[in-house]
Amino acid sequence: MTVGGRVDFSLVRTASRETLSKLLDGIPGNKAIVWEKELAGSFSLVGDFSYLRSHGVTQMFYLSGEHARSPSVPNIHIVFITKPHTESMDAINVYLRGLPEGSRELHLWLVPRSSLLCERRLQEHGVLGRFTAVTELPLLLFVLESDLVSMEMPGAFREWTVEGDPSAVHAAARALMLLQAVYGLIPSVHGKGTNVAALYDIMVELRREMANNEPQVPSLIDQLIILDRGVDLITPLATQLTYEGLIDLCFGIKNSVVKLPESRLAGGAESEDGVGSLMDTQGAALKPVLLSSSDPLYAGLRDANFSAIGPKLAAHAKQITKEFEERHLAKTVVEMKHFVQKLPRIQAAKQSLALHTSIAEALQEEVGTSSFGAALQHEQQLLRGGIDCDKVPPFIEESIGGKAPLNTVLRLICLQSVINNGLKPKLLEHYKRELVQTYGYHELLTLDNLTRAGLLTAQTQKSNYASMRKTLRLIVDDVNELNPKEISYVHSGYAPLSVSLARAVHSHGWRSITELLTVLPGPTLAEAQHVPRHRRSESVSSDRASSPVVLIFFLGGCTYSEVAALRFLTSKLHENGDPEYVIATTSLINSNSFLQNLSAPLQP
Amino acid sequence: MAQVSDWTRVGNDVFYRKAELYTMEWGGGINVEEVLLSGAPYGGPIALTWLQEGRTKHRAPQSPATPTIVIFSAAGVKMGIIKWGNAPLIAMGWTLSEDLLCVQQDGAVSMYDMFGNYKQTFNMGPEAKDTGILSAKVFEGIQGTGVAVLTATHRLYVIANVAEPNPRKYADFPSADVSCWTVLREERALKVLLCQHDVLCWSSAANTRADVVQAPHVTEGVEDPVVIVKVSVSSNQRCIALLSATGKLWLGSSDLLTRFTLHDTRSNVCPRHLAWCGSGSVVLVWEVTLQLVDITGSVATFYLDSPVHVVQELDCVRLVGDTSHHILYKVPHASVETLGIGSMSPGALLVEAHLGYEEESPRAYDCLKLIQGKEEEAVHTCLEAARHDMSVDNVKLLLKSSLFGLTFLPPLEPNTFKDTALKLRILNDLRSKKIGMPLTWQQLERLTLEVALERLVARRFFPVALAIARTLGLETQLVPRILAHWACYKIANTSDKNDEQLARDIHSKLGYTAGISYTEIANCAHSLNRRQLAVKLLGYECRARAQVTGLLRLEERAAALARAQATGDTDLILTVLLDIKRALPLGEFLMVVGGSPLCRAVYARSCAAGAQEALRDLYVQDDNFHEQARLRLLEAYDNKRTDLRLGLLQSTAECFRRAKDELGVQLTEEQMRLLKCQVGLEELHHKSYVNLSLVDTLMQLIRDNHIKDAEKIRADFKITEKRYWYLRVTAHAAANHWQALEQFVKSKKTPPIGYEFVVDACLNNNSQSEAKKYVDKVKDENKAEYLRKCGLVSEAEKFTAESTSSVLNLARVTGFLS
Repeated sequence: MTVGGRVDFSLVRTASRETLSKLLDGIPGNKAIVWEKELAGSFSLVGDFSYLRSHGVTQMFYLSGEHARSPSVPNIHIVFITKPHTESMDAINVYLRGLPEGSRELHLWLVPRSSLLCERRLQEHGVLGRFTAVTELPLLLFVLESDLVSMEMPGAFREWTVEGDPSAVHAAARALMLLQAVYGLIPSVHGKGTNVAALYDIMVELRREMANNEPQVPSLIDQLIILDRGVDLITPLATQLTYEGLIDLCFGIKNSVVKLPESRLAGGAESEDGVGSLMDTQGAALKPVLLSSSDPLYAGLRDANFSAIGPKLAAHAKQITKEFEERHLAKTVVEMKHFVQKLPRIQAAKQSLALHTSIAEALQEEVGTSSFGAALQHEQQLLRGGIDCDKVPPFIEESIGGKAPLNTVLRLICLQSVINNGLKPKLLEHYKRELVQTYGYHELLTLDNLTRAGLLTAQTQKSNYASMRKTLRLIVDDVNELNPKEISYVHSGYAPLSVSLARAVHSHGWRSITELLTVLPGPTLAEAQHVPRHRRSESVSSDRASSPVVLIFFLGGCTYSEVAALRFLTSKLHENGDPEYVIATTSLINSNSFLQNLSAPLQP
Repeated sequence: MAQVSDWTRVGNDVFYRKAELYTMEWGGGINVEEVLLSGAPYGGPIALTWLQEGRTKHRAPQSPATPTIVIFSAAGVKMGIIKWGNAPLIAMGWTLSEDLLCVQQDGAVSMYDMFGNYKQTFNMGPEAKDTGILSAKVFEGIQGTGVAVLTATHRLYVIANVAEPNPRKYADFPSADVSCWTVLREERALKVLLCQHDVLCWSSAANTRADVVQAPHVTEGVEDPVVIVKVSVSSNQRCIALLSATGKLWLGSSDLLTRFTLHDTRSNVCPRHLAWCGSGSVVLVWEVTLQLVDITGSVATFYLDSPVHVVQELDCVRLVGDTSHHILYKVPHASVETLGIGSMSPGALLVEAHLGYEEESPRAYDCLKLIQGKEEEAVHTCLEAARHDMSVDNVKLLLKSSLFGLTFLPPLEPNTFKDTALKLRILNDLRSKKIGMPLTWQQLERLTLEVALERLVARRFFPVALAIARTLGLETQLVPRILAHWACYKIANTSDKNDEQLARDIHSKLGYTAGISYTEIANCAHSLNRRQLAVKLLGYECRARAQVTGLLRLEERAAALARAQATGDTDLILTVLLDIKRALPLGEFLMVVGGSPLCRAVYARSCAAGAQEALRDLYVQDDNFHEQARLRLLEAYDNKRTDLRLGLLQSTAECFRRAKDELGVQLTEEQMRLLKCQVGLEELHHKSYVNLSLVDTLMQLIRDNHIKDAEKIRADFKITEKRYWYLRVTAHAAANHWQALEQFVKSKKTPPIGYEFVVDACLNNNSQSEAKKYVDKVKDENKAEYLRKCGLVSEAEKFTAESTSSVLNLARVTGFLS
């Protein structure tokens, strides 16, 4: 994926595998795994079933909140793998009721760390004693692509904003230590946002804890930029218009896999075999599709603007047709053989093309609806500063009046609040009343959550969005979506604030934007970690032949549009003098999942 | 020239060597004959006590007035004294971890460390206590050291491992006098062999009655019923020696099935000691005569300076006498080959060549010529001989020779030589008088270097142990352990220093050595009742979790909480909080929690999972009404019963009021009104309205044609005209009440929400025909778009309007796959 490619996160996967193997091999004989569904998905990024089988795992079950059906669970050691949540412990308790006591060893592995609270919960249920061991399985980072790792902790942002619980910050610090254990100490650390200082303090603490035992690895990453999501709340509320971003927005990508309704995949349905189809909640058949850069077509499409997808697919189709037509030109046996050798690749490319054509069609259907277009238009108006943020815009009034989906309305209201640095108290009250009257009183908690998260607040200071927009060149009116020149192509006009900030910091440090820093929330971090001379890599020393590597850590999630923007910058590193960016995040988010996560799970 | 003059030939090409290890001073002279002595194997310490009256003819002149056990190092340096005030001592022995076991007549067994510090006492069971013990053995069991006792009632009790002192009764045997007995370790079980006149009994834990067998014949071809008076088992448990009262010695396998040899000592006097020297020979010791009997039947006699005690080792015996400590061992084959007189083996020639080289004699060349092609063998033999030789001069000669030989070889395994030299140096250090651990190479191999180092540490030779560990490159595993031992020793032995100073001293020595655990040292300080010191030491601990839990153990809760908060580790903070919760009354605890936002968040999180009341306690304490309102609201929605929910909403509103959240109060009260209103509607129309939002309730009423009710609610809740229009249009369209919609829209000249919304409402409910009714009235700037939406494309083209967004053009790619 990356052009520089000096830092390849596959080493993280190797490290995770080693950790997992060690634990698995610590339990002799065959074992069955019982795990949470979402974890099972994340684990597929560490090792597939054949890998698990080679370490003695013969069967796997989901922890579904039901009793174990005894006959189906074989008489071997059982390993429970869950997140350290009390709900999971309750599910385990229920599961254990279906399992006769004794005769088998039970193990519990908590990902990514052990928790006293969970152990106490098991104790309350009276089942803690049945476990041979409760162990910590420190899988902190899951590798999504060679330049992108995620902690797969979607709840992180909600936890520290709404619930005030900073556990995820500690986990993030541990994840960063893990990255530094593999890629060496990062000499320069910058950051902005509420939790950034705490995060760095924990990193220092963890380093102190290692005392003289730090791994002796040369530093490969030159700079770490930590961005708290709270610094840039605009980007997650904006509509991401890259191909991958839209797939995530419309269908939801989990662990690099998107589950598409089979009806939507008429052409490409038979292309992927060996993957069983599932049913979604409505009973429509869902088909999992792996989205990864190992498919060259997808590698070329994922970060492109959606309007460029059509031409790209067409060009690709032409290319395949041309290659396929070469069979007529093959006259001699040697030429024929040459062609036959290429055939499997052409077939695969064809299938992939069919798949992505159907995905693109499905997306077009979603994007083509008038509601999508109208909301997008309103959003872009807001971002351009074309809407008076102290009034109720007609579009919002109409949307509430027509009872448009709550997330759509909330997204635009929140965006209005964020770029206006909060809403006039009267207006805020009006919105709240309207929303409660329309969508139900129970959404009051959701609104309260949004307020805590800083998304829906009363104005205390005048907005500085206009100056920020100018300083960081957030809005580019003339966007070339087919052949982008600026990162703003990812939102068709709006350049993600986070990425612009990171760029500014990398090139000039914080000094260049001191004025902005005072208006962005949270402390500003600029620290240097001393790297012993022998552990410095070539690039840290004066050799400037290869460009530096910058790790951006999104504390609280990052969008696919931000990923695309950073990859775009990396791909242009020789032209613009940008560094090579690699990305780590607590999770990948889009406007839907971001708001969904913050909503209160109350049923009327 | 090599020292071979002290070799004694025993049979063909077999030599034994008796060499002095140390001259013994004993801190003031001891008559070995008058003491009960026990030397620990592997060159361990020696414990001795003066035999009490009744067991010797007269009281020894040196013996102190009160019974005393004195512990010496193998080199005779006094290490500790135990004042013995208990029941008479029957036997002493050493455990594998070099603790002294003293078996008393009443069956109690006391354990002391090698400095005479008391550790613990256990007993051999009630029967042993009641009847008393005749004799006892301390032996090396399967998993650890064991103790076996023979009671006065002829019962056997055995503790297989003193780490778990559970006495077990062994099989009964015929009740008769036992002349001697021993414990035998088999692969998985222990057996006891008892000699009663001419029969032998095997007793074990497995069977109820002992197996009785006839003693083997001790005289060739003659069936003589003899009394076995002494028995000895070799250290590897494979060979056994039986000595009859008539002085006949039987050597054979320990299962008594194979006989190696018979030997007649020609002495009716029972020797003081019978012991195996390795597994190839047996030594018998009378007063000052030592007879060595090889298993092939060869015999040699040694004369001693004084009576001795024999300590049986793995591969030799040590003879502890009044003034000296000797070792007697078989000269290994390699030594005989290299140093033996007249040997022409490659090893011997290499030594010769080396000596010639040193003397600058052509002999060197001649000898080298003879071993051409066999240099490697020669070097290895020399090294092998060097390893096992106990004479420093010989070792030097052999090492030099092999180094000389190595120069003629390609650099094969330089490490073998280096390792050997290093280990020999260590052995040499260990054997020095100061340390006094006379280990042979074989013993060290068996013991392993790690254990040897541990023993050094136990003897408090910290600098030597550190130096050895560092030389061996065992920094990470051993150095922290050695340092921790030192620190604990230091704490235990310097009571006068103040805590601050001592903690600083320890820290200045230990620093942040990799793997060092200050928690362990603090635990040690705590167990020695130096709590303040422990707290200070924990301050140096760098692993946060260990530090915090350590502080909690010391009940330094405030410090623990501060430290935990600094780490940012929420699980750790919770650990501390729950500990505090146990220790303090609820009110005080809540004060602590409320003292920091982080603590409050962590505790709230832990309560959120099912302990809502605890959470409420916290918010009440804090006067946090907003949070209380949220809790009440959650509770209200947990309750499906309307009356309960109303009550809870009432308290929610109350909380909002106290939180000064006017909007919250209004909205909540509105919700209560709505709920009451919905209940009324349900009774009226027999339809479900509860759980609908205000807007949804109105829409449902409009759909169901209860316009009057809707109008009433609209008035009650002060819904603006615009809002009402939106929902009315949406509801009519959704219910396909097209006529009603038209009527309503026409009720005003221009609808306050614009015709666009009306058209969209129709279209959203799939009625283009209805939509067309209103499309003409749409504002001009939107007309083209709305005409197109209604499918009136041709009309739309008349209006030249821009397309909404350039984003949404997807060029369709189809057809190429067919």
